[in-house]
Amino acid sequence: MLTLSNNTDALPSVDDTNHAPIEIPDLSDLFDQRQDRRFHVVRPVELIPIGIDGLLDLERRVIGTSRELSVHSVAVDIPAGEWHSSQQLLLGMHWQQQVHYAGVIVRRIKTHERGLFLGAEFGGLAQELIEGDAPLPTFDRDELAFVLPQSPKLYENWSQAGVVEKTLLDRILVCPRCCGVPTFRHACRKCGAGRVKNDRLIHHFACAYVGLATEFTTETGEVVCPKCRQIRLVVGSDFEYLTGENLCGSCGWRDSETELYGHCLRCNWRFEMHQAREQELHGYHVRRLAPLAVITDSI
Amino acid sequence: MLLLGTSFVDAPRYTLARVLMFVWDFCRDFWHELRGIDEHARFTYCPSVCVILAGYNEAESVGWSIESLVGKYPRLEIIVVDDGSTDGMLHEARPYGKKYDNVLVLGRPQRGGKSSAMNFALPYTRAEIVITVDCDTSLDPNALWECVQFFKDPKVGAVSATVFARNADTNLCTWLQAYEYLHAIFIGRMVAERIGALGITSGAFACLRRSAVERTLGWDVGPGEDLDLTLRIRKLGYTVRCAPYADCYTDVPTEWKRLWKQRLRWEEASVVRSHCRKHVDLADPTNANFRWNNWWVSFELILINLIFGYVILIYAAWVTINVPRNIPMVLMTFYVWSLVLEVIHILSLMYYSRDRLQHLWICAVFPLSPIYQLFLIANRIVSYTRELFWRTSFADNFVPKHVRDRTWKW
Ligand SMILES: [Zn+2]
Ligand SMILES: [Zn+2]
Ligand SMILES: [Zn+2]
Repeated sequence: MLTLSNNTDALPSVDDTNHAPIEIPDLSDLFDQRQDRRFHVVRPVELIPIGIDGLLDLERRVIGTSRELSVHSVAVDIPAGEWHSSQQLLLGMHWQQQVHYAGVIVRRIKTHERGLFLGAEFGGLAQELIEGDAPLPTFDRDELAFVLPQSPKLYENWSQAGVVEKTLLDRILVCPRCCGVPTFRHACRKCGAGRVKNDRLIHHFACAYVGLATEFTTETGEVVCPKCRQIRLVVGSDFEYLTGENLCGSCGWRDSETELYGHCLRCNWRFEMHQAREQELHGYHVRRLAPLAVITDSI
Repeated sequence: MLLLGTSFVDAPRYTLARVLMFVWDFCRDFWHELRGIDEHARFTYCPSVCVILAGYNEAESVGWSIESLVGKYPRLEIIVVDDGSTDGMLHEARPYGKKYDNVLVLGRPQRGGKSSAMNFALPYTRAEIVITVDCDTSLDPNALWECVQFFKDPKVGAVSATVFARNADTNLCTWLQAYEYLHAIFIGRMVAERIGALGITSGAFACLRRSAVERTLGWDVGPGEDLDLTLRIRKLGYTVRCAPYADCYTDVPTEWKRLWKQRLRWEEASVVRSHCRKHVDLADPTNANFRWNNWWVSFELILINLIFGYVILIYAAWVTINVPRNIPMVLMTFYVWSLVLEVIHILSLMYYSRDRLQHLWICAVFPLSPIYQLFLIANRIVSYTRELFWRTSFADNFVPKHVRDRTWKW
């Protein structure tokens, strides 16, 4: 990992180094001057090779200094001996105390006495991956699960490299078998069925009788206590409702309590909630390099 | 000798009954011994049993209570009712409902009183025998077996178990109570059963025939709901039996002040509220359901506890005003006379006791018993007076306010 002082003024530039100032060679043959106007921008950069699977090769990370920058391309000075030839790179440029990234394709290489100059265009696989909206986990209707645009392995690799910033967006409960999204029900503890009926009881305060609510209601709809024959009972002042036992319509199990059960929509697995897997949903943020802004800042 | 004639009829009357019972049992046992009749062919009856554990703020003891019951009896189900506790009792009890198939845990959001909490359990059991147990009560391993045997006789509607004090060795207060429990409950109820006057079961451990309870439609609002239900079961024509060896242990109050309050509550609810008011028909010969044995239950309590209580008070006042110099003599006579009776009590107790060493140790407090008796008599007079004139039992916070506001003030 490249460590730098937070102070922009202290950023090493070629002119500040202990080496004698070198003459900037003519880099005109690296670029097509007619289409792309170049500016003199000296900033520390890092270059990380990227494989065809999108994974960054951190061991071959190279530190260099930018020499020229345009909207479409960049020229980088790399110390001798550090370069491992690779065409597709992720370039990180230090600007305003942060590293801004862009994908580049190496077009030309020119050696000089201390190392080499690299002429690269913005684009390629790395640029594709960081372009567009920030990658957020979304619900996939076919998969019936939350998915990211790329494989999770890739995001792990990129966040390890410090390229992307991982933010916890949500923590959800999913199927312990397949991470599919479940539905939930208060179900029978024995068999997990949702067909559970609940008794409603009445407690008559005056005589302490407790019985099914149906015992208390007459044909005329009045509430009458079957024990003490008191009539015209008023809920709250004369009696209260109690929740009794639950009866399972599937297996006949009786219990005072139901259990929260999940049913996976993807693999049809039914599980108790304490078995559910906790899945963290992360968003990945990357600071994209805006060449124009850097150029404006530098001139 | 007026003192002996009136105020202490209670004690000698019981002593006489106890001695008669003892002589009878001794001769019978001796006869059986001679003839080689084996009396130990017990525990042959095994009806289904439902234990109702109703409690308020018993989070600490409920788990232990359930564990101590599970596996003690083959056809057992346990219904735990949390009466709107605020200490997380329901939360404590729930896991046991999951752990054991025969444990059902019911709860309600608001406190409604012990009676309705027990009634809450009734719709959920089909067991033949319903047993109420307090959460802080521990049962002897054979206790359930001991008490269900009596239900073999279909006429038996309720069985009174024996309550012992668990914390007898805490202080003098609990020691005296332990001594009192031994005589009043262990032997006292055996005697009451013999003379057909047993009309009480202790709520801490009471066994009831479910069909009988259902005919009464359950417990009425307390306090004294255990006595009230037993009397109503008797009124239905069932008999009440005593299971002297169905033992349970409970913690008794450790302070005199709390003991005084506990007894006020018990006495208020029993004699005046139940026998003199709500169930006064037990003593009414013109009633269609009148039975002499029921009359005997009420008559005995009203006469001995209530009327004689006031007679003692009047007599004490009379002696104090008219012949104050006699007070020491009266007290001495009372003390010596009581001691003689206590010794007879202890001797008969030893015949029935199954844990003689422990009981003998508890009985060692007997020289102080007459003073304790005076404490109880004073308590009774205060509580009867309060209930007679102010119906204080209906203001007892044993029952939550919204319930006691609605119930009938008998
Ligand atoms: Zn009622
Ligand atoms: Zn079920
Ligand atoms: Zn699944």
